[in-house]
Amino acid sequence: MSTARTLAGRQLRRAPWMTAAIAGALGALIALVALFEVVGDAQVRSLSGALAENDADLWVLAAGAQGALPASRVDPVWLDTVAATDGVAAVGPVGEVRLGVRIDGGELVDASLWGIDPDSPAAPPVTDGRTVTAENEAVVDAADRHLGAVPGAHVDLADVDGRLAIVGTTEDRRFASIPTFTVPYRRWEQVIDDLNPDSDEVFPTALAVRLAEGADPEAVATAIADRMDELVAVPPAQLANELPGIDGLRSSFATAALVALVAVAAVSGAFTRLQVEHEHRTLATLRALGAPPATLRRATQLRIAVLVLLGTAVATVLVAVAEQTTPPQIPISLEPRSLVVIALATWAAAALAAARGLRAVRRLDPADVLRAPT
Amino acid sequence: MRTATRLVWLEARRTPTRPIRAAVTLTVLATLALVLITLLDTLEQRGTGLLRAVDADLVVFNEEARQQVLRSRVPRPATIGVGFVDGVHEVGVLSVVPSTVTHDGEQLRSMLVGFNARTPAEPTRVLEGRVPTDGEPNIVAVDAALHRAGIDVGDRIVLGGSLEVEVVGVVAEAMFLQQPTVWAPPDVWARTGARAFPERGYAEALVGIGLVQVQIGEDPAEVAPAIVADLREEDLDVEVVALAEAIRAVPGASAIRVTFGSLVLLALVVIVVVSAGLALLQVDRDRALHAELRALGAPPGLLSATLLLRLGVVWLLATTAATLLTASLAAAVPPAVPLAVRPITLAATAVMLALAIGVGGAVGLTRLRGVDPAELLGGRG
Repeated sequence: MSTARTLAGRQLRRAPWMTAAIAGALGALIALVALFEVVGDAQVRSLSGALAENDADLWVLAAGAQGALPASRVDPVWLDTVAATDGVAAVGPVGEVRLGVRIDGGELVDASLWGIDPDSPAAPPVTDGRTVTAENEAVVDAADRHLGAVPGAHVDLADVDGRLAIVGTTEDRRFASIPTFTVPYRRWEQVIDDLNPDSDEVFPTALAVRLAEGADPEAVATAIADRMDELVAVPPAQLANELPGIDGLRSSFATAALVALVAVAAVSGAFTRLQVEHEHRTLATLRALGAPPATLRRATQLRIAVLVLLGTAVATVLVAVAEQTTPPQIPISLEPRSLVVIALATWAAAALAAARGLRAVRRLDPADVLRAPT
Repeated sequence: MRTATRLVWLEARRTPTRPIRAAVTLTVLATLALVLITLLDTLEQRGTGLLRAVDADLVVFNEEARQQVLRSRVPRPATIGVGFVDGVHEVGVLSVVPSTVTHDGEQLRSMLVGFNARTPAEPTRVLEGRVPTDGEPNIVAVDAALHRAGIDVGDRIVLGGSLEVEVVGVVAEAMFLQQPTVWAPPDVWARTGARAFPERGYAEALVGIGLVQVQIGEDPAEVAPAIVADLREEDLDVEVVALAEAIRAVPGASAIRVTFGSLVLLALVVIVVVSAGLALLQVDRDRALHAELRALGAPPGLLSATLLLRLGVVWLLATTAATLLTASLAAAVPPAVPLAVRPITLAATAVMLALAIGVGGAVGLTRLRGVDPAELLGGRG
């Protein structure tokens, strides 16, 4: 094994630029696959976190909205009917609207304003600061702290008169990839009323339901839909998955990651094969000098393993750089398990390609190779 | 060039697997690049198709909307006022609300688009039938995405679970925020919208965005501030931007472009590195052969031409195979996956691949120039 190790080490050191180029290319490809996975997850979280992480057992929406939150309006008269359904312990209205805000007098940005009472089944848990206790207070998702959205800051609503004081932050509760604020439902109603001066009707976007202990969510959802044709009840995580665009985004990143994984395996295999062929003459010389084929195979496989390891190290650095440089609203974080799986796939493809190339070395007659023209 | 071609041809005959193997490697990478670019393109088309479907120079938003089509509510006096601004040829109004379409018992998500016919708000490409005109009751046109889902001209569909209408035409795909679109006259839009969004009330006229065509010879960049200034005199605050800017402002469009764009860039860098690696391996492998050819009097230009020609053949094989693979993949995946190959995407990817391989080839050429016939013939021949 020590001879193989020496041979592999010298081969790598003899062509440092080639070693660096191969490790760099492998690293970039491995990083590409890993990034597709983590960036895809981060994008989906940023679009739908407010629903995906919601603590309510069921959300009740207008059946006609087809799961599209902006299209859902639930007539408030249904609130009592839903509350009276068997298995329902608590129910609260939820509202969502997009509007412009200025955080501490900063630039005008679009925001998602949620109306959820602090005791509602859908209320997001506050991780820093406190929950709202007054109508002009809000909690904000911490992903937008770089905009100054932190407890103590003030938010001016651009489209209507009003100022909110931020009193707490939430984690992973972003929506539509924009700053996400939560105010008491009554305050949200006022905002909608002010935004639509021609109409007095304000309907909640959805109703959030907490189930009684032991109640079956599916049975309660069916009971709600049976009693009220216009409504549909689904767990919030399912709703998050069915939001418009989420499916397309998720499948895009998954397709891209799959094709990139095939690419990294193919490239590592092809390069290995080319290198083994390139070294045919050197290997024949070593055979002529008495080196056993098994030693040559081990040396090549060892070198490949080292190259893949170097590539994985490059990939780790690249992903770490991406983690540091991506904006905080797309919080990507490296999954070591994914990196290991991708690296293993890369190594397997390269090792197989090398094994195929080395099969010829076992059979070759060194004299024939050395006599042959180059 | 003829000698270089002959050399490449002879080599291909002698060892046909060599260019094919290199082509296979690049095919995989080219497929990766093509899939990424196609995903990016399709996501963008499906996100912003509505604005790409109209023929306008400028888009008018109410100031509070901050260039968001769904939120914009340009008041009627403002859209009328735009028509009187110097340099404006025509103006139309377009309004969008999220809705649903029920057809044969199946409910699909959609965006309901209210538009003024015979104005810049009308979709430019009608594939079948016609588009509705203002005032026509209970008729709509659907876009090609809904047509693919089985809705034909003459079918009756239900909008927003409440209003039954007849389909009179199919327009080219004009999806918005990843949803297919239904194009309706103002009254149909207003009735459906009022039912779906009670807080908005019933709008007697379309209130959404204004789409403006400027007169021939006028510069849209100069007309835009004139519109803003004229309307401000009437106490109407609007924001006027070029159509391309409005497309860029569609929610998610820039995030997708930046995210996927960065990953496409990374993929192209990898292709450059791999192409360079392949070219270097090829030069290294043929170093002795090149030395012999140089010793026999072959000019360096011939060897360079041979290398570039070889890479050109590999590029052609890889691009063709990648195109076929991506087109097959696009046909095989479910419609939810945004993978629709367009000729323009293919052409752009082919050019980018050529550039990437060209950069790789340039590295190989540098190495090729360093071949020393005497050293190689004496030392290793």
